[in-house]
Amino acid sequence: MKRDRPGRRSRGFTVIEMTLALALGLGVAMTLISLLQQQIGFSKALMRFSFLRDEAPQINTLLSTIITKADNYRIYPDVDKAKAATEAVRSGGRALRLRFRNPDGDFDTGIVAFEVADGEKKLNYYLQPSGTGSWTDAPNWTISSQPDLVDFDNSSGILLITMTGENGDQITYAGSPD
Amino acid sequence: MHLRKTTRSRQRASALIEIAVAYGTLVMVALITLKASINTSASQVWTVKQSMTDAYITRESALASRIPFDDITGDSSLWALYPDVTTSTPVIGKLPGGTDVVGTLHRTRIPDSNNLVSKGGSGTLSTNPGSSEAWRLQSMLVYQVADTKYVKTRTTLRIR
Repeated sequence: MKRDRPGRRSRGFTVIEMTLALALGLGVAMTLISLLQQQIGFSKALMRFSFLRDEAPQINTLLSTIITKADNYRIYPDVDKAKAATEAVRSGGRALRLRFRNPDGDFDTGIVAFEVADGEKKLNYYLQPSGTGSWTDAPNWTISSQPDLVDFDNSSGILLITMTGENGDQITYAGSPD
Repeated sequence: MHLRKTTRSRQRASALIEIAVAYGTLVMVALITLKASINTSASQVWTVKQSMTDAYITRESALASRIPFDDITGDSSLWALYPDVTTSTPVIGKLPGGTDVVGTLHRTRIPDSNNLVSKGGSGTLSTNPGSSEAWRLQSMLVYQVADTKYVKTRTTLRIR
């Protein structure tokens, strides 16, 4: 086999080859980055729909179950007025006071209230069993902490519950459709 | 020497082809995932709009069941006397970002054939001695998702 002449170095890449390789490498890198960005954007878009897709229907199902069992309801501007049962309103309500008749003829009272406490927005539920003269300060349980706003309205003659998510998404349910 | 040079050139060319193929494949994968993302996003909108319109048409049923009878048959009734139709374009809900979802709502009320003549029917006191009155309140919500139009209807029977 013929040997290379001693002292002669192997030939390197030409400028064109290097430019081409760099351009293709950059292209691959950019494509990978855009793929990553696309997936991140896609995940965010999916998350933005989660309130309307998952949370709001679940809240509605729960509220429908509660409201259907009630004999009557009243709407109040906030939870304190609902507890005191004063200054009922027909629109712009943040609290819904419900009365449940027990088999023995007594009544339990419940309140579904949208509240902002310590910067946290929550849809809470308070229950005052019959024979109890006072309400607890803390809610019995929190229905959801995802709505940005929950509005109760009866100006059309039916109970409408409008839920707004943190992305400005909004849906309105009839509270007692039957 | 000539043989080695040729082999090196082929290797370089081969590397270029591999990079080009990889690049092309990546672009294809990017396009496919983009299309998949768009499809999934569209299905999200479809699901949410179905949910919104279900809620809205349920409100219509509730309203039709509870509205006072005199308001149903009055001059300013929300349900026009058939074949007239009351049409409105209510905001059904809002998508993330605050975009309104708008539908077209058609309402009409149809008297029962045995209603007395004064109540829109052709009944008489012999066929309808109690002078009962029945109306079918029909609400039809038309909405669009992408290029497809959908219709949801509810009919409520009111009798007195």
